[in-house]
Amino acid sequence: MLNKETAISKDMFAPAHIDPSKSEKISKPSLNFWQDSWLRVKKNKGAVLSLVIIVIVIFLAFVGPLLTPYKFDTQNTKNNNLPPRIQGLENIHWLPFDGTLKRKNGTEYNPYEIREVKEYYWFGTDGLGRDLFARLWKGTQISLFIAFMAALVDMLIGVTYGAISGYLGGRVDSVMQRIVEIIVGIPNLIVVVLMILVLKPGIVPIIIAIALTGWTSMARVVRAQVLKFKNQEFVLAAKTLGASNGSIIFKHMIPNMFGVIIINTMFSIPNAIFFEAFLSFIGLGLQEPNASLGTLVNDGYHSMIAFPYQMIIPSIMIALIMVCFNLVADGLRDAFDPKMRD
Amino acid sequence: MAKYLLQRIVYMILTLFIVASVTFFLMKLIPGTPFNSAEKLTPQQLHIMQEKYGLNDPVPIQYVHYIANLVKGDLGVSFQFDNTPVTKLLQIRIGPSAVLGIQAMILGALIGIVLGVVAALKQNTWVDYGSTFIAVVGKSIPSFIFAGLLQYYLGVKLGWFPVMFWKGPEYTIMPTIALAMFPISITARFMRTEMVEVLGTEYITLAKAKGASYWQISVKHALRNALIPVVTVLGPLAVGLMTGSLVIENIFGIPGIGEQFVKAIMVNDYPVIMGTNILFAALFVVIILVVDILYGIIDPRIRISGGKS
Repeated sequence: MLNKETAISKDMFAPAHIDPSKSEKISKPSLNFWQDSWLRVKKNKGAVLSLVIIVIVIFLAFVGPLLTPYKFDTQNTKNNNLPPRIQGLENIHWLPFDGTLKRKNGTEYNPYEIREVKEYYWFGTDGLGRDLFARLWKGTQISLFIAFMAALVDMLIGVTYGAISGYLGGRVDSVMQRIVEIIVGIPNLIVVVLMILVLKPGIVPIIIAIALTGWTSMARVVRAQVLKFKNQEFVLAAKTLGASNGSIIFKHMIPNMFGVIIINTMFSIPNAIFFEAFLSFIGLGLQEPNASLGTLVNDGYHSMIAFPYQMIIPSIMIALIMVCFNLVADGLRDAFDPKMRD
Repeated sequence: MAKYLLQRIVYMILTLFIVASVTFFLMKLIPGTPFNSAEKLTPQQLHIMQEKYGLNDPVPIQYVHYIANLVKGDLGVSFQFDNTPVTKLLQIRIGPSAVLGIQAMILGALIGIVLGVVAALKQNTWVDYGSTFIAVVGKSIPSFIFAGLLQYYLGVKLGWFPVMFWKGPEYTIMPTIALAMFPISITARFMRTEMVEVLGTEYITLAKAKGASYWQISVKHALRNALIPVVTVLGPLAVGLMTGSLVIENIFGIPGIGEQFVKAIMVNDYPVIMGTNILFAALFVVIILVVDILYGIIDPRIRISGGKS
């Protein structure tokens, strides 16, 4: 120890040269809000992976139905309830794509050979002989469409309501907040079910029903943000310069809360997918021959014991989409949250 | 406190009144009749049937009747089950639903707390990541999908548990697990955050400095303080359980309220739909109120005052 200390002599050190003109120099490149957030999202591997999966799923939702020669609503009862079979993978026995099914007593059989079917159905067919590969992607497409639209409507209603309530303040605010409190007090489930009963199941009614119940959390978040910004300098400056209330809210305040708005929207997408699937499951979903992930799971559920693939494949799809959206939303929340800044 | 309670109860009643009214008027808008094979009935027969159920009165009068009966605790009679009063139907059915809900709540909270605490104590290890993974998956996958998969793999393929119906305690295992996934994930996440926060406080440092053992610190100092805010998730959990029970009961063929609600939707049994809605809404507002009050009692730092909760 002692030897080492003496080995470092004083002349090895020299005072650092400080350039007073550079003391204010910004050493890191300046980043805007989006670049900065992206940097932090990138660090979260789960979120990035989920984002990639979501992009692939969205891409396949549009391209998938075109990849097979079969249409999602063409019935071919001769080829009904066929298990999944994929060219090339059919000889690998441990994969579930070999075209075999199990009987109740455990023996395997190949319906393709028994019924002399030449076609390959990648994810099998349902009870009416419709191709499940095409139906799966069609269903994904519709489920995602419902979810995105519902989230968008949620966002529009929530942001407008919250901004008006927070900005105007006073009596308007307290009346609007009491209304929100009462709406929050009603379980979403009841409203959604009643709306569907009245409007009849369909894509638009489902979107309306989900959107009508989901906007309150957005409204609350936006109101809180508006209250925070209301007395800040940039808003006072805009006011002094004679900007109208509308332009203060939409041009000055909303861009400053994009982060929270996006996070909230990202959380309402999986929520909407859940409600859509839920409605399908209690028999209030889309009508045939249209498919959503919820109706596919529901249809498959009824023949679960004999043809498990009909339920398992769409179930995996819903689970995958939900997990990915939740992970991305979590990642974005961590990225946008200024408290987490290092 | 008294003023706060009074205000909350007034809001509760107002909310329930709005739920009852909205449900009533939406029911009136629904096309279709509640009678089986209505097309076979002659107009006279239909008229007699409607007269019997008071469906011929003008809507405002029906509404007044409905609300007046509701105040007396009378939810009307069911159309599908031979005029059985809805309150009686709900009474019969609430047992299995309550058993299932309470079991799922207890199981979910216990596992969730353990997962969350372990994750916080072993931060950024594989234990933590595993617990987070379970929480994300449990929160993301809808309970009915999970239930379907459980039924197929554990019930049909492995034959460990009975696949469905409600004949004894072993029949409650799978539905309870399926229903508990949501509480598990919510409590686990919440517990982890709280525990991490508590572990970083000064009194934990003090406990360490005075030489308390690892277990003493974790259980006596950290866990007890981290548990307090968990009470706040009870509200959302109860709501999640109600939503979940609707489908879970149908999947497992459990004679509970959720199963009846879905059946009632299928056959336009308005009084049962309305009654169940009001029951759900009432449970919901009462649970939220109880949770808020409990929170104030458990944690004296939270003051309940007249203005804000």
